[in-house]
Amino acid sequence: MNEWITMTIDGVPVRARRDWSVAVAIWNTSAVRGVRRAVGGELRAPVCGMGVCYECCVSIDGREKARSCMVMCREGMDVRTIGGEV
Amino acid sequence: MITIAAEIAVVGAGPAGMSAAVACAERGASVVMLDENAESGGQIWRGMRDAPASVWRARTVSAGVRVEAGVSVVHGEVGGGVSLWGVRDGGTVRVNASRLILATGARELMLPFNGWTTPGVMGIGGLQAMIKSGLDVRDRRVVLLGSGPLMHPVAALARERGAQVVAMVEQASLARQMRVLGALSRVPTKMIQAIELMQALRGVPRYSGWWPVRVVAERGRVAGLEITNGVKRESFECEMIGASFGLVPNVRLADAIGCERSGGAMKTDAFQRTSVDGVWCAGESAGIGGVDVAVLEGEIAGCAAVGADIDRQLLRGRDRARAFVAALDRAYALRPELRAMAGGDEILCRCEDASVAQVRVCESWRDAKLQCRCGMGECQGRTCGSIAAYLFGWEVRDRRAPTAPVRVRELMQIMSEDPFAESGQGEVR
Repeated sequence: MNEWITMTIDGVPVRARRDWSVAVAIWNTSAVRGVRRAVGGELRAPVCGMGVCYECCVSIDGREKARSCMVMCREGMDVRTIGGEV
Repeated sequence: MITIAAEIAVVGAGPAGMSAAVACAERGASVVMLDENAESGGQIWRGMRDAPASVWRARTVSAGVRVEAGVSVVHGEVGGGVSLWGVRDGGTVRVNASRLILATGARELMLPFNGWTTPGVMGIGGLQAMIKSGLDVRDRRVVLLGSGPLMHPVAALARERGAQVVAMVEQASLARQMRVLGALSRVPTKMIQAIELMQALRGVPRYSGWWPVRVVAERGRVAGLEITNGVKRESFECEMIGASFGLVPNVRLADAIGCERSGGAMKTDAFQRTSVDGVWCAGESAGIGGVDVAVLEGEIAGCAAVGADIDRQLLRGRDRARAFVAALDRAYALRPELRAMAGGDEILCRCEDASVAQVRVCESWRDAKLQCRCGMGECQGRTCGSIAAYLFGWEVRDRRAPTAPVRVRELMQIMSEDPFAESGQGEVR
């Protein structure tokens, strides 16, 4: 089975591995960066890596506030972060 | 909604949950094991393909345990039977069982300091989980910061994957940490592990009795870190920081069910029984003990839940392993200075952006929720609740359902169900 898939992050096609979480794919294909904005406007990024803190929430295939650390990458996945703004 | 019936329900598929589920199933009970993650193994065996994770996964399969992955359990009720409700991929899952084993694990204690919300600051276990989930750390400069033995294997993992570990900063003094040696010398396997780790971490600058002052942020991410020992200051350049101050048991579901606590963990007797009839607890949620304790407690809980004889050796093994962990606890006791790391505008509740200053003036956890929405956001106080409990000595306990965020549509499905209308044994539909 091919381990590598193609997905889009903020509209940009990227190559990622099936065994990466979406949170990991975001950082591996760009840089350590904020993925969401807090209620006060601050940039935030993954903290707990295990579904506790909700700091890594992004939109995945149209589902808002999905914990990107808990979802594995899939072919054709559409991920939206605040990436465009950074 | 899918409905699953089994004699035993196990929540959590880490070492304790798997061990418990296997113990029950190998003695003939029908078992369903639920876990939020995509794969069994918990945090410690996340992404691990070889033994012991592979062995335990194979055992759950051959024993006939029904594994339900990707399910977040959001409510549970016990009384004349066990009912659990979970959500997965927008749908709901209902479990009816006769008995329940909770193995909900632990999370990290994060503590606020200046800049701790900057992208690139994670937990120590958070960094570990990210690396195990594929994070590329090659040539990244990493600082590990905070307290506890977890720092060592995570530093070794980061280094093995090509990171430059710039420093390891432990708040406990060297003299205190040395107290572990006595306990280590009594457990040869731990001693060997410790020596291997020391070798893997040779050359990494170590700071003992130091703690964070502030994160240096540039362009919205970590660029560096400043630390102090109360007298001097030092700073580093880095891109990633793993910072946490120990582990706290996950007891939210147990609280909702009405189990009594002992300290921060669930109260259990010698046979892992909780205060609620028909409910057992094993692993970190019954008290931080590490993987060896978790596996033993899981087996004890499993045997107890199916009414099987419990091998005395198991009980003795567990008690010995617990004694070792108690020694670790004393060695890494948190210093009072950590309570003063953040006193003002630093964020305490990351979901609602309530500051330390705002929460500090409140009278209680409930008051903080009412006054500044602390603990009212997506994570439902999982991060800030432990912080508030540590900083202000508050009792933080939330009994109300749901125990995790649920969409209204899913919540309505759950609420429309009479909890015990169809409890007992039945076919999977």
